[in-house]
Formats: sequence, structure tokens, C-alpha cells
Amino acid sequence: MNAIRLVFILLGGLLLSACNDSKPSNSTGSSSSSSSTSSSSSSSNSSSSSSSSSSSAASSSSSSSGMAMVSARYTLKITNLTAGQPLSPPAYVVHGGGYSAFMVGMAASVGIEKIAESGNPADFIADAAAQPSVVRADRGPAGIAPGQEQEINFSLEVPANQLEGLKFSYLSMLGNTNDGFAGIEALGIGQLAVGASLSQDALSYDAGTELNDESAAHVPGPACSGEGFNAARSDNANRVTLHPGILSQQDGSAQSCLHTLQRWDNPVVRVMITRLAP
Amino acid sequence: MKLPRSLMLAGALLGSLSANAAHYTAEIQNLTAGIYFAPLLVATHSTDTWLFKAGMPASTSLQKLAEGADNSGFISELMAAGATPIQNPASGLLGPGAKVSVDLGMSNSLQPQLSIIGMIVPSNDGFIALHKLSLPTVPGTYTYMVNAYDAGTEANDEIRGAGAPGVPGLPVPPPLEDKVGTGGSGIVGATIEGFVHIHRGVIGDTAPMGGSSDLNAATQRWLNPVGRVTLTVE
Repeated sequence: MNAIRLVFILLGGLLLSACNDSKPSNSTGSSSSSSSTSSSSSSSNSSSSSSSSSSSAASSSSSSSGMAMVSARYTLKITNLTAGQPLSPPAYVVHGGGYSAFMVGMAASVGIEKIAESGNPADFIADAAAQPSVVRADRGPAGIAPGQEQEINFSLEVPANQLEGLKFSYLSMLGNTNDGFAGIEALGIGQLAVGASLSQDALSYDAGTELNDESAAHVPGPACSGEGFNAARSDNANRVTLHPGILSQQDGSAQSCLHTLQRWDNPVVRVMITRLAP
Repeated sequence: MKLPRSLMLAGALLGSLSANAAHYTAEIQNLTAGIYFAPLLVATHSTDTWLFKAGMPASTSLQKLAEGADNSGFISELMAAGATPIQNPASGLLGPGAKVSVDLGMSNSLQPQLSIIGMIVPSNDGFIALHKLSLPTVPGTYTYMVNAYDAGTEANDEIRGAGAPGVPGLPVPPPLEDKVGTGGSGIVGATIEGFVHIHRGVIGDTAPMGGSSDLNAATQRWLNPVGRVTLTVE
């Protein structure tokens, strides 16, 4: 793996320097030429809610050091790899080392619980945006059906010395579960050169906040249409773990509202991050 | 034009790596407890070659491979694209825990990406794939975990059938005749998913005759990863 990374960095450096070389010609209107790819609605949708978070991070860091700011643009391609688990609208956070979206073995925050039980990322995003080491916290425009892909474009601005340490975290609820979610925690993206991509598979986690009864009363997804968020923590574990999977009716759970199609194995989501020209 | 220093450095390093021909070997191991890999297809190819895309419908070549271990479609495609595919390196099924070593040759005969693909049996339309791995150029030993996919072209009914594209049921190769049950009624709710995705696994049952499945719930389930590829560059 080290060797792959080395080649990656080499090629990335090559692209970066080639890009820097041509920069003077288009530095005045760098953003105008590059709205190439799809889903402009998602980026416009997303810029509103997170502008506060990026500006607060920018102001706090620029006051501590007079470091020049650099801007970076990224595209996320999020693919649902499951047969029958719709994903809730993706919540994503770009952050430094001082933030952690979730940790296996620790109790889930209420923000995580709300994503995992109902698919609503608002609290999780608001909590993240309030953290000083978070550069950007936002959501995709819609849920992602099995086999479907969503593209999200975003940009951010950080002090030049913080770019290399940027990390990426992501969560979506697995809709046809009690409190299951797909997650990526603190994937390093700071080494990405302009034009380079990174692909990361997400595992399935159990928020540990609701008993996995698979009942029609408690699973909110389309297979069951039950209750979403409930503040009561009915799962005795009350800690985030890797998800044990579901039983389903076909695997002997008579009370389950889930069927063979809603079963899954890891990985459940693939995220491709590409750094675009600024 | 003035070349940036990093560009010249990268060029020099890449140039020196490609000048030193390295020998590539891929060892493929089946990590499962009770699943077999049907004849595998191993090939290096250009970055433009895709055998499938997760989330998209399977091609006819993938459907043939995943439903009936017929790799001929991909072999033709790869050869037409200038690749030299290696077919069936294990000379038959690669059983639980077993491994096979594949001599890929010298770097100057290889294309930039490696793919390894093959049906998993017994399954309706399951396959393993290490897909479009960009070959490392620095000498060393590299390990990659391999997942099981579902081609999405056949309902996972888990009962005996045939391997021709579009024909339902599990094909049962002769060595597995005694390992697959009979008379199952079929998994209720199994549908043709319509797109390639990560395989959700099988359900099976505990009745060798009858029941809902001809697969054995105790021995023929799996979880990812199902395979490991150890690539040696020397």
C-alpha cells in the first residue's frame, strides 16, 4: 500500500505542478470555467448551510496565524452498494485532527442517533459545524436508492498549512434497519493533488441506540414504514459497533418486517473523492 | 517551457522504475469456509477497460460468468482490447482455504491494471472480483482483500437449476454434487435486482432435502472478504 501511495503522490505532484504552471493564464476567473459536471443543484443546496461553518473555522485559524488561505474544490461520488437498503441523505464533514464523527465502542451522540434511527442529519451537521476543527459540514440533496450514485460538489478554504491534514467523514442511515448506518471516519484527503481521486468503501455500523427488533413499528424505511427517531435508548449496549446484520423473515425471524432483499454484507457504500482544479 | 522541478523528478523516477523490468506474481486464496471459486480469469489491461460498474446493470459477459462460470465473453473482450487473459489458473475449482499462484510475467509485458474475476459456487449469480487494481511498480509484497458481488441478473432462489444466462437456479458442478441439497422450495421474495452490487450473502437452511434452500446454512454462508490476493513484485 505504501508503494501505491507513493506513486499516487508522485502522479499527483505531477498534475499539481502542471496545473500551477498554467495558473497565471486563468487566475482571474478560475471558478467560472469549471462547473462542468452534473448536480449543480446539490452544490447550491449545500453551500448555504455550511457557509457559516467554513467562515467560523477560517476566522479562528487566521487569527491564530497570519497564514495565507488556500481554496480547494472536491467532487464526491457516493454509490449505494447494497441490494435493498436505501441510504438517507449523506452527511459529510471535512475536518482536522481534533474532530471525530463517531467511534466504535463509544456511545452515539444524539446527532448520530437521529441519522441512524430516522435518517435526519440536521443535528449531526449542526454539531459538527460548531466544532473549531471542522472546515465544512453539510449534506447531500436526497437519499440514495440501492445501486444509485449521487454526486456532490463542494469547495472550502483553509489556511495553507492545514490543507495536508484534512480528513473526511461520512454517514448515511441504512433505511431499512432499526439504527444502522454506513460510515467513513476520518479518511485523510489532504494529500490529494488537483485531478487525483481516492476511493474508499464504507462499512455498516450499528448506533447501539435502538434494539434491532426489525419490527414494523420501529424500522422507518420503505420496507416497514415504522417510527423514526425515538430518544429512548432501547439497545442495552448503547455504543457504536460494527453492524451484526439483519435476520429477515427468510432467516427465521417471524416478527421481522425485513426480507431477503434487505440483507447486506460489507462494504455497503463506495465513496470516490476527486479534487478538482480551484 | 520551464518544467517544474517536481515534474522532472517524477519523470525521472517513473522512467527508472519502468526501465528496471520487474517480475509479477499474484497468489489468489479462497478465504471462505465452504464456498468455491469457479475457474478464474486473470488479466492485466488498460485503464479504459471495465468489466463492470457497481450500481450499473451487468453486461452479457458478466451475466455469463456470474450465472454459469462461462468466462468466454470476457476473454473475447479482453483479447480484442489487446490484453492476454489467463484463464482457469487453478485448473478447476479453487476450494475453501486453497490458493493458486499465477505468474503474470515481466513488467514490460503487462498493462497498467490487474483484474481477477470468477463465479462463486454454489450461488445463483455471485462472483468475486479484484477489479482494476493499478499495479504497483515498486518491488515488494502487496496484499489485497477481495469481496463477493452479485451480478443482479438472476433471483437468488438458492435452489438447483442451470448456469445458462437467464435460466434460474444454481448450476452445480460435479465436484459439488454432494454438497448441494435437493428439493428446496426456493427463497421467498428473491428477485432479479437489476444491477451489480455487493453480494448480501446466502440464507440456506438446515434441511439437505426440502426446506426453502438447497444451500447449507451452516457451511455455505460467507462474509466479506472472501478472498485474498498477494501480489509480489520482484
